[in-house]
Amino acid sequence: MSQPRTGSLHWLLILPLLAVLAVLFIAPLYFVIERGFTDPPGAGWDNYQRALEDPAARRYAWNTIRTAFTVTLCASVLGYTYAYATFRASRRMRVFLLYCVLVPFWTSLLVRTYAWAIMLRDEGVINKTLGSIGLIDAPLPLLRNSFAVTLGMTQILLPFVILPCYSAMTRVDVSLVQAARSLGATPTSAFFRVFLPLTRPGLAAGAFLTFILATGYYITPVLLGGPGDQPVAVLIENAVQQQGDWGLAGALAALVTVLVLVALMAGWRSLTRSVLESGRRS
Amino acid sequence: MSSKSPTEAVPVQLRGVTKRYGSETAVAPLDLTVEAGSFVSFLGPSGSGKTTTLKMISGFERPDEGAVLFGARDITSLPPEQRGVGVVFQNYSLFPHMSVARNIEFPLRMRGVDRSIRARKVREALELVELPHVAHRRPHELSGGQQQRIAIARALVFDPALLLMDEPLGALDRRLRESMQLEIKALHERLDVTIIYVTHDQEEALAMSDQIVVFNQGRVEQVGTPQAVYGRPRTLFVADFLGESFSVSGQVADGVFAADAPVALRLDVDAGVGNGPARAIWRSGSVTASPPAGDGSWAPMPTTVVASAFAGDRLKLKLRVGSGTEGIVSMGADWPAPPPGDALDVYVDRKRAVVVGAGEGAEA
Repeated sequence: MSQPRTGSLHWLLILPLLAVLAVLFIAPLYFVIERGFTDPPGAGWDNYQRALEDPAARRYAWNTIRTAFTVTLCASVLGYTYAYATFRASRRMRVFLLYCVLVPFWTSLLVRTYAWAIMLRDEGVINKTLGSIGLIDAPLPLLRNSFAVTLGMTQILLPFVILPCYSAMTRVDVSLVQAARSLGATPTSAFFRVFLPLTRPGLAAGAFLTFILATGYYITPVLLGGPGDQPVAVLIENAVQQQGDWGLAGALAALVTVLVLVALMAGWRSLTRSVLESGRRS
Repeated sequence: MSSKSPTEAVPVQLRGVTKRYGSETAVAPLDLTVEAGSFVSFLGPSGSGKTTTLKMISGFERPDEGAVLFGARDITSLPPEQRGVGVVFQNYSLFPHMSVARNIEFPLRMRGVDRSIRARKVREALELVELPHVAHRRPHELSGGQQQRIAIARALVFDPALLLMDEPLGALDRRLRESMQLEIKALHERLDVTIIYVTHDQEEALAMSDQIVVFNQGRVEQVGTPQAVYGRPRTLFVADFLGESFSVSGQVADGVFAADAPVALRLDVDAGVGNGPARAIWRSGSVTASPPAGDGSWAPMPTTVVASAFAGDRLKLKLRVGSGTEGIVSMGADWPAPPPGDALDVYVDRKRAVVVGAGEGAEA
């Protein structure tokens, strides 16, 4: 407040990062979007019109959004539950449970996706086990469908829900839950009326991050999903690799970026609040 | 709320209640009866078992042994939400995501009270704590004192027979604390409710309580009126914890206390004090530098001044007697404070001396 000089120096500290972002992110993004308007020369909004009118593009966009919603829902429910179990566990168990979240987090996305593919295929460990104990006659169709995509992406994105939820829980004053009990609330209603509302910013932030990340997923839906699960990213890749149609790819990329930005603005408040409120109490 | 209160204050009884955490005994077998409608303070240093005992009454801890009774009802294994006990926590514990009115309404909602009755009760509770205008504010918009009053309103709105307060004024500054003490006492007089009040502040306990229960190391040291625990402490710990005192070490033999040399003082003692090392204790009022003339009960006591401090209306002196014990006494401030190191002859009132055993375990 009374240190305007050091305040201006703080801005200098983020300059290198801003420079890196400008060169490696903003400039390429600009060129991609520019391509959407200038390839072929004088294209203008033509590429956008093509993208929006293309039934395949609509279908793929729907796939992307539907998958993102399903994954966000599954990850939120499972992640919050896991975070709560961790929060209530003994100290030693807590460390173990958090490690279980972080270790896969540090493993390559590609490796984890292939691991799921191996587990889920007809000769995979799940179908083999179920078959050998006589529960099923024919292998269950576990791979190349929405189930596999949801399962794989949920597992991969879970840490993004678990960590903010857990951090929100550790900031809740447990005497509030005790107060609710002393005032006549059963454990269940104390949870739903006091604990859950107080940890909602963490859950919102986690769900939101998951949704944003899920809209950009490419490898997992391609490797685990069926034809009905392919995301827009596949279409963009197609346009570039198969057709050399950089204009259409640019327009599609720009549309996805806008979609994410809109979602970002919608959830901005809950995200920033959960970050900014970390030091505030009651 | 007092006259139409549907629940009447009940006595609380603890029978052989014990709580252990691992090998640590937090509360040794404890027998205690809190009479219906009384104001009882649990007083003791932190870790003395007073809060654990409170939690066993509120239901947040279950005793390892023994029973807790409300009236004739054994509630030892009842969960907190079924005990109908109001609890006020040190950090207020107001729900930050609800308005003040919603906070106060919470226990009524949990009990399925009708909407129109809820609104009336919330209004009455806010009037009770003299904050009728804050209903729509959020807790964080209120001052600490206001938040604590709302917490009290919330704990009383469902007419509990018993109100537990766990260091409720601990987070407030001294002046606010003193005015809140008087307000809580006034509330208790207006309402038909038993209050158990946990504090580590002896002045607070003395000012507010009908009865004080002094806790030390998981045990009850003494139960009595403020006057009794202050004026007639039964142990050295109670004497030390309840305020400044001046003491002399000595030996009790056959009902007579003899001070250690070089102090020449003999006192008759109660039958309760056994033979062995003991201390004679005086509170500030029974130590003076200038005894009233012609009163034979004052005995001279040579001391050395260790430190002195001016405290407005009185002078605080830390004195050491020849046999080694030190004590703090307050005296009238109408004479200049003696410098440290000076010899000072004080007089102690034989009639108001309290002799307690000072054997092993008696030291605070």
